[in-house]
Amino acid sequence: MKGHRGYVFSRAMGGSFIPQRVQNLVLREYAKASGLDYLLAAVEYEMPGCWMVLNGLLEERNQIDGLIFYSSHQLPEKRPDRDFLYSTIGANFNLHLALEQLVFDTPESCLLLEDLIMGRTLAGVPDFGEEEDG
Amino acid sequence: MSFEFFDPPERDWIQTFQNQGYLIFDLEQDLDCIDQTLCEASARYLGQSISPEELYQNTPQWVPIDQLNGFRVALIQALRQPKTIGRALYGCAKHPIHALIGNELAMQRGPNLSIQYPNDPSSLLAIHSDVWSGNSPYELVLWVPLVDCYATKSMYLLPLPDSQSVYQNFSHYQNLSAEAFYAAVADSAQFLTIKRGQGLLFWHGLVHGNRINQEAKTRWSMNIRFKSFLSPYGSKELGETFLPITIRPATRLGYAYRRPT
Repeated sequence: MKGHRGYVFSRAMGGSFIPQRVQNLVLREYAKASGLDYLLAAVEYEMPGCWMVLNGLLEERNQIDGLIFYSSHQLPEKRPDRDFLYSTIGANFNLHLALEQLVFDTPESCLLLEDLIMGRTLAGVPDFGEEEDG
Repeated sequence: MSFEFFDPPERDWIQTFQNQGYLIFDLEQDLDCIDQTLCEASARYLGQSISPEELYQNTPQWVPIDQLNGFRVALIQALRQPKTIGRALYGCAKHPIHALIGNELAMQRGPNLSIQYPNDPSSLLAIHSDVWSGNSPYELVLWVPLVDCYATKSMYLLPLPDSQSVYQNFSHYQNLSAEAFYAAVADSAQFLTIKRGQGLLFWHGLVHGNRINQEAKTRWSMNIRFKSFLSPYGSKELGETFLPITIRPATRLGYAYRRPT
């Protein structure tokens, strides 16, 4: 087992600012309950629209079994960026959302995330506007 | 409100619900799937098979009260199956739900289970409204009894006019304890008579709760929340608490539409 890398935010998400300590507690508890080998979380930079840390994790995906996001609110805003993330999901690299307790292990399974984003966008949840031409 | 576009029984359901904030109706499917799941999980817990009748009617003889919480947790775990239990609960109330909420829905990810022994003070829900603790006011609760429920074996609520009165005068209550709050509004509380085979849909903005079950038998009931997929969410979010179950194609096409360029 190579383990699952945590991924936390240093900026607000979904209209709320969640302290990293809280995000880390949720990730560790989720990994423990799910029987996952937990690798210490990488912290995305605080600049809005910046995905440098996530991109780095995806480049190194052959060295880990998957990622554990704190929540779906950390998904990139732009659809092509999300599509690239989904395309990396497969038998050897999966995506966990700790808060939602959801696991994605195929690109097709990730379509549920697009449904969540659609619902949040149309229902007016803060910080979830799909970008035009995204 | 105009009812021209609603046909019976939708029209009656809507009128009743608008007047009182809740609707009691006959379930549209049986509860066999739920009975079977609960009996199988109970058998695993108890180490021997048990019929639904025996499970529901004589629960304290099988599970001592000091083990009730662990038993309930084991059963709730078994009920967290959206494709079977979620579908069964939705199927029980599909048309009343569509009448009161709409047909493009999000459903709570897992149902809740209440097992309330006679004279047990440990399984109480103090007087409250779910909206006061973060649920969206756009949600309804589907409450399904697995046994006949009445008097203190059932839940109570303050019908819509009485709940609205509480809302309008909340400054009179806000510094009371929950018990004193209940005492202040107890005259308005209605303990609902709902038989097995019936369901209840209620707006969880209504003030509601339960009291010590002073009847002879145990209460078994389940509840789960539904809301319009497209209505506002509270802090119980889409994804974390709710998942979409019936997104319609027109919504997908509309959402995907981009102006020609």
